[in-house]
Amino acid sequence: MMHLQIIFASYIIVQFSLFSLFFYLSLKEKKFKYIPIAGALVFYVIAIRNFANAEFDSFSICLASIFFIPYCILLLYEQMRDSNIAFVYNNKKFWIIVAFFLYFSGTLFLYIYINTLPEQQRSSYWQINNFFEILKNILFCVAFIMKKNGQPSYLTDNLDPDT
Amino acid sequence: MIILEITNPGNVSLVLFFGTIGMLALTIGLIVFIIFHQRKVIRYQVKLQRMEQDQQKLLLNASIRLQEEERQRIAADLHDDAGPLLATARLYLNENLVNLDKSTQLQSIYNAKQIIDDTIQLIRNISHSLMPPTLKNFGLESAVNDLFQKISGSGSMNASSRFHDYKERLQAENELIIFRVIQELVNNILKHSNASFIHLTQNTSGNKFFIRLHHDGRGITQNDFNKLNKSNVGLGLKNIQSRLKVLHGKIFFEKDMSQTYYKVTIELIKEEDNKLAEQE
Repeated sequence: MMHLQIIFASYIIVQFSLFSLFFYLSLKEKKFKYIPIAGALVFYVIAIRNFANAEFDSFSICLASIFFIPYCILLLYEQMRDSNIAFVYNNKKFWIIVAFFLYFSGTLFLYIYINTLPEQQRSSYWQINNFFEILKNILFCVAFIMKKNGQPSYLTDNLDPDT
Repeated sequence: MIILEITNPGNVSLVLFFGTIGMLALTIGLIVFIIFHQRKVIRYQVKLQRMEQDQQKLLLNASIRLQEEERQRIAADLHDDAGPLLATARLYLNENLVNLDKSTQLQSIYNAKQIIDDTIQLIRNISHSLMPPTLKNFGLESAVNDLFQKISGSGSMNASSRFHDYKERLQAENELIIFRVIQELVNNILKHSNASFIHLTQNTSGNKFFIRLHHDGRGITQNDFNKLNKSNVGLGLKNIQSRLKVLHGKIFFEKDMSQTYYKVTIELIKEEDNKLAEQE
């Protein structure tokens, strides 16, 4: 059980690092770039402190969600203002951001309350996490199959603003 | 963690359910808002672009019409004036072949020479109207002074011009465009305003180049100019607009502070800055 907790804690740290890197690279405004760096420093201190806890470390993942939701809003705001992007949904990054946004906002309450739930109920509530995990991966797939130059793929061809 | 402490354990599943649904609704709402807001912005931009295109079309039509009118005028000048003159000269020269009397021959050669001189003068006038030689050789200041002297010389109106800061000449094609704009404005004043004087001043401020025209007749304001520009009438004004567009210039029509004079201001960017603007 202890091994599982360590694997999960490591997974959260790696996931947070990669997502933070994605946000850092995606942000265009220089003044916003320090936000993921500062967030990562705070997160690492807390995640490493809770690393060897015997209990499931829901605090770290809650913290990650609390960091990522504003990051997503910030990136969507930047995309909305970017005059080079004709339609946000024709952009790969938009779908990746939406995937993160839905996943972290959908599972926030689950991670907040997971430790208060009885052991036998946890697996049934864990379905929420599975659902959002699948949704996140589907949205990632949409992003990956989109053409690189931002042209609409067959999935988004019908989303014309005049129709 | 505060939420955990204040929540009754029995209600955890309820809070979890509504919390998740609430967060999901907020997220989806925000995404939908972003998509629709962006569409709205794009629609607005497309509308603006269409309006800009329509305006461009009007200007282009006006410029084509002016070009056609100019061609027709030149054709008419050549056909109605130069044609008969040359035909008459030909008749006189033909007479030389028929008439062997020396004095008659001399008279007809002299007449033919007179007619050819007139034709040369006529062609010179046409050529000068296409490109004023003063403008080409001495620049905008001299060409404008020349034009204003001619107007004053006619006695119908007092016209004066003063260039305060024109040490270096602009590029020849830009000078021609500015001269044509001034010509068109002066022509409009002469035709429609019933003014007793026109005064032109030129000066610079920073990277801007200004030409101001004052007159005391009936004029138009910026609102009238915008209306005429959007309508199908006001060909000359459209031409002014399209010519100034080439130079990234602006024109303002206003009434003087004293409400006595009308003022037209042409604002241009100096050439170095204009080149930078074109590159951008």
